[in-house]
Amino acid sequence: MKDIARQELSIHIEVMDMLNDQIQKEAQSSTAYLAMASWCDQQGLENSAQFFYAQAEEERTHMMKIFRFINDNGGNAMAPATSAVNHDFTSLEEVFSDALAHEVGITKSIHKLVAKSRAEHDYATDAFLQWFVTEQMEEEQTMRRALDILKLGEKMSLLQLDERIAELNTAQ
Amino acid sequence: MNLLYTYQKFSIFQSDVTRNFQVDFAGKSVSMSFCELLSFREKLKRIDLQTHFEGADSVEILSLCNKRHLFIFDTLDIIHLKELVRGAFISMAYQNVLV
Ligand SMILES: [Fe+2]
Ligand SMILES: [Fe+2]
Repeated sequence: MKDIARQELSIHIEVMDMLNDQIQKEAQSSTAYLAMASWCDQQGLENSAQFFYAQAEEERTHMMKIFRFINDNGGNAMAPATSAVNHDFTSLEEVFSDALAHEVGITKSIHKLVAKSRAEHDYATDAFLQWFVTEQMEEEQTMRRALDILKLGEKMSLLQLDERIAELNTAQ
Repeated sequence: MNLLYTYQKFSIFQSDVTRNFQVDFAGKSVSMSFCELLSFREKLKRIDLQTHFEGADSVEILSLCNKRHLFIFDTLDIIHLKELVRGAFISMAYQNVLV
């Protein structure tokens, strides 16, 4: 019997399921960051808003990267449904600490995917995911730097702090 | 036609000649490409049986192969179909190991 499944699909089927779950997570991240951008905008924190608008777009490119990878390899990429996200924050620090917690969750999810692809000997997906491993490290670092800036500047006004967030925009 | 898996009144076959799959739904046969089989699997995967047990739904209407076919399944059918597709993909994965 021909191994049609393997000839049609280059990646492991259960790994594909997890990649589809990851597509949903990236889309959900994009929506969450859009809500954060909106909050910052409403507070007049333009640099922070710009930072989160850029993050929202970045998450969408992450989503598309995985989407294309699944379809290019003969799989069935599923357009994600996103659920409601939080729009209420009490401070800029809360926004960034939520963002950091979110990124840590995404990192764990990527690591689980790497572990699964290795367990199933799906080395193509493993190699593909290495970009995401590095990317997650960088994203966590960025969020932590933002939190450091906010903590250092407790005596500064919110607008002064927002000025310093601009440094992150140029670093990105 | 090679039998991949049978469960209750459902079976899945693979044809090396046409490179298609044939799913027998208790009398009615549907030919599917691998891609269509994947999407059939995905549709089954997305059915939450919990809603059946809670009494909200007792039937599922599934349109297969880009709306070429329409099926109505009850809870038991869905349980069996989920098992059928799971078994068929495991059987295909074993081919991969054996060859
Ligand atoms: Fe991401
Ligand atoms: Fe991210």
